[in-house]
Amino acid sequence: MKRRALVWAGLALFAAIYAVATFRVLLRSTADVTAARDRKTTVRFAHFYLEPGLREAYAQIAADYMRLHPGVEVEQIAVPQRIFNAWAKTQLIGGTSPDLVLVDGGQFTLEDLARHFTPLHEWVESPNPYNAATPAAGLPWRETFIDGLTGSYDSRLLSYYSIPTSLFTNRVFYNRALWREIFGTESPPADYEAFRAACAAIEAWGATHDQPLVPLAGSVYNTPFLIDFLFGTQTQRRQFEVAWSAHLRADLSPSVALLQGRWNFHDPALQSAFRLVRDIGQHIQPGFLQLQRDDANFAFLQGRTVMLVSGAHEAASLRAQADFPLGVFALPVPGPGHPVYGAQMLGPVTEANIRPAGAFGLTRASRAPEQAVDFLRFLTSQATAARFAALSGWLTAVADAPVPAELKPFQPVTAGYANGFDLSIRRRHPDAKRVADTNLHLLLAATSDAQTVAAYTAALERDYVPALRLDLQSRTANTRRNVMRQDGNLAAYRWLARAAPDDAVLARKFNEVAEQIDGNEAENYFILHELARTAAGANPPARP
Amino acid sequence: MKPRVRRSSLAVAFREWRLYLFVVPSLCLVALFAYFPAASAVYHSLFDWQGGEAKQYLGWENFRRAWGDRVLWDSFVTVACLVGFNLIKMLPSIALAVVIHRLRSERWQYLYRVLLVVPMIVPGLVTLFIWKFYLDPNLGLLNRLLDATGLKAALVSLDRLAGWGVFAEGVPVGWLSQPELVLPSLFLWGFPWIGAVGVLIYLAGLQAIGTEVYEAAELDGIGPVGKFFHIELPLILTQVRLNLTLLIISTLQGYGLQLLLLGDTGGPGGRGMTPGLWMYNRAFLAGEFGYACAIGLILFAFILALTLVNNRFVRSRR
Amino acid sequence: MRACRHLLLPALLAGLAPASEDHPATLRDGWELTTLYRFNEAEAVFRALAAKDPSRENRYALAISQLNRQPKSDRTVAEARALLTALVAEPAAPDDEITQAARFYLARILQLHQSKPDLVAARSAYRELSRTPGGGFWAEAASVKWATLCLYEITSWSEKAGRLAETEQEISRLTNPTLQKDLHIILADGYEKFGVSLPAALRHLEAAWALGIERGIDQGDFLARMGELARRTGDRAKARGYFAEFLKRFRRDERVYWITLKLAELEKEAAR
Repeated sequence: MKRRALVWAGLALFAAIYAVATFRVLLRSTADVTAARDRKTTVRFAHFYLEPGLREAYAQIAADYMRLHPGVEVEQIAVPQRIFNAWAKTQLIGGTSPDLVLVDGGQFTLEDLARHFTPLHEWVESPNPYNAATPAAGLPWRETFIDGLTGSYDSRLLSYYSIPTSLFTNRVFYNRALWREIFGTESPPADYEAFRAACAAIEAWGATHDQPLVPLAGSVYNTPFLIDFLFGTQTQRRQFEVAWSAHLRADLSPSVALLQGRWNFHDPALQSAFRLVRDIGQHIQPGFLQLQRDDANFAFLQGRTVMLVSGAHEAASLRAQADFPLGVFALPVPGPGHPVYGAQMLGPVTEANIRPAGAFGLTRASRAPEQAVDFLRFLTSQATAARFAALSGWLTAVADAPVPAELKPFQPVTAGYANGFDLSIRRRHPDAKRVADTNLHLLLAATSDAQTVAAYTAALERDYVPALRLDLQSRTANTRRNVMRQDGNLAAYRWLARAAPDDAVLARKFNEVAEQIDGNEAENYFILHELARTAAGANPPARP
Repeated sequence: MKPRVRRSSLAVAFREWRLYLFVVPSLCLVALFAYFPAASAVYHSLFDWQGGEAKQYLGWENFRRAWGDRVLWDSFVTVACLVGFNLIKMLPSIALAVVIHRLRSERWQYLYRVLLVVPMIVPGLVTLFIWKFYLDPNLGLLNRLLDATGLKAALVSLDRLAGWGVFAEGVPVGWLSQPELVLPSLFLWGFPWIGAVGVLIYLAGLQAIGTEVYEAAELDGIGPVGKFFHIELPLILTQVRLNLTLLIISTLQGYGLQLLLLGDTGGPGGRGMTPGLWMYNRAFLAGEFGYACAIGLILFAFILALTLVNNRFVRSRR
Repeated sequence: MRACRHLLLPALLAGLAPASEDHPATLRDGWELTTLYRFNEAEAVFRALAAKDPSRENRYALAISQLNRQPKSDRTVAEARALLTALVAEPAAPDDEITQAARFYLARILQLHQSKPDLVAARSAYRELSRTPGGGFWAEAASVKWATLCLYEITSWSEKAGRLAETEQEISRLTNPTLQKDLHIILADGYEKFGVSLPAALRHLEAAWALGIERGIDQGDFLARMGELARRTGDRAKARGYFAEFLKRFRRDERVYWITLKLAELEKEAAR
């Protein structure tokens, strides 16, 4: 009897605790909402940038905005990148997401965007009121960003889905104290040859001073910034020669062109690129293929290496940690006049195609969408963007916004030609890139230049094309999936446009869907055509 | 008689039926967080699925593709090597358990057990970073040790003779950046390979051996090595089997170590690519979640088969 | 007001104001959901509407949503095919929009939606539809699809000139500017990709440009491409015009530096 009572008591206790917990959760969310409604409008924005300076900058700007709008409260939510995706998706699905969520980590699918985010088309077409009395006054908000907001346009959903705030360029950071000690000056190298000579001089200085000193810190994170870039300088001319269209834009044609035999790994451009990567690879921290970003930063900050290649977003963090003056210069480019590497180049490399980052999307769960967009307008106005750059040490995505002196070396260089392709072919061929990466050690081996280049060429000849074919098959499958879904869109916009014949937006969207489906389908069939044709080993005739 | 016994045991089982209600929340959680994802993986392995809502039924196509996937089958060779390494790495734990078990002083036994458990409070990630630091080509302990002891010079000479092309004078050894050294580095990982949990499990098994068994063995004139092979090892085979099963499962499934050390491509030459890492690569790099689920199921089949073999052949002769 | 509708309707459809007995979901709501790729929800709306009123319009909408119902399989596609086939079989005027659209999507199933596409059957279905007396949007869209399949059928490159000439004849059949423009683009791409004729590629790009390119991103490509093709084919005046227009409209494009140099070179040549 006593035991039975105990069992019932246990069950009752269990049920009671569960009920209380449930009740508390429900009560809390209701209370929060009620309180928020009673108090003032709240705009919450979430991101995963935990680098020093940035959160403080956002906080300052939020405070400025709240001063300007006393009825509004702006809250910043910083979540570590590792868990941001899971956190954001939980919030979105639960309907409790912040008003603005960072969307540029590639973490949201098409369905996520469509279901949980609000298209911004109507807002971006009208001017940003915070730009009044500036040269950008009267311009559509869209036009005030360095890329004209093209990076925020989702071509499947036919609208803009985010507003960028920042921009990352890659630069060489150097230890000015060490530089002065070695070279007697703090001036950085003027060109590629001077850079290479400086690397050799650093090594020689280290050897004579019994101080193991490496010119460049490296890791699997940092090194591609430099070697992929240098690789591209050698394919700069070739990419336009093998392109299937005369639009003069760097595109994905080199992948199909390789299948077609328009280029191969014995091509002078490719051989030159391999040699260039090897040239620089010799001056990077040994074993960098096993090191991570933190290892490279650590080596640089400890003064074991003189230079580090990294993104502009690292500048503030490096400055805060370094106990030496930090210098910055642009990635070294051989230039068309270079006796060895110049022949493959068109000229200087432009950074005009760098896509802005730090882009916030407006969630459908937002209780104050107009206010949230207004905050974004404030954040990306010319004056606030300048303040953002000064406070955070990050570049801004806003065009023509004044930039503080220490950020000037990071500003994108726009005078130049698009860089060529590296072996990931614009980062769209993961399998091919895997083959290139896993064989990179062959190019950096401690044997002669000719041997390593030959070994790397042979490995790529063996494994690269099959991997590239898989990537292309995967790409065509993706396009097919998208076109299937757009097929429904076409019917929908046709119906909607017929029901509202005066609606110019619907007419535009209908035309755009049709244009996209036809364009994507034709390109897909071309790739499939070439995949099938080249599987049989036939190459195309010479082009006119 | 038999049905009556069954009925009465059923009656006993259901007499306190309310107690089962306490298990329900745990069962629900297990179903939700263990069985549902597994069932979802089985379901999605039949689809062309990129992780979103949209998916297209493919039937067995993902499995057919896996059959011809060279990277996947190469990764099984790598993981077979890792299982082999781990089998070797089990031995020091067994040896240490026997040594502790044979200590005459109970106080010292206790002390050693405590010393074994203390490192368990260090987070696994810290251990990982310490080992990563050991293997660092520029600052690492291993390279310093090789330089200080002159072993590096010996290795360079051997390399010249054998033509490995791995060790060179004046160039730090890249333990994880040279394909030839990736597997040896993974073998070295964790030296001297004392797994605290493993030792404690073996100790539990050893302590269950009665003193009369040892007395009888001593009367028969069996020495310390004989005791190990004729008494201790046969009687802790249940524990060995448990550890072996857990080890096989964790080695076959595992990819965290390789991902952290070598990246998502399996490092230089792809030598560190394991089936788990390939599954991760396909899902999160190529966006082929359906195919990654199929790889997961193939992996499951392997683990199940190996576990069955293990259970069938490694038996305690108690 | 229009801005409000575009912003608020999706929000309403997102579930903030679900359909109720007082405000049942309409055909428009279903199509709006379809534009947001929310096919399963759209299908539920259309299914309910078709159950209540099995009009041709409701059943057509249901068939379209069924084409992308998730998870997609040959069974769901077969259900869509059955619905579309029934719509085609019912008596209706030859130029009836729903009949034409149903025939178009039946061909799309053959080309795209079934797990193993049948391009030969799709091509002949498009051909048949494109030759329907009375034409209409879907018949013309079928012409464009036919042209694509004809051009990219796996053949040797030497056959491509003939295919392009054959495909080119379809343009005269089209009256819809969007479809005319798309076919011009397909032909320009074909002439350029298969290396048949750069002047022909330029001619088709110019024709498409005159009809209006919808996407801003593509407009830059068009101007640069027309300028470069004109330059390569020796029409320097035209090239200068296109390049100048490009520089005027796309100040921040990655090609500004190169096109500026090209334009300066052309200006210098013209001045000589």
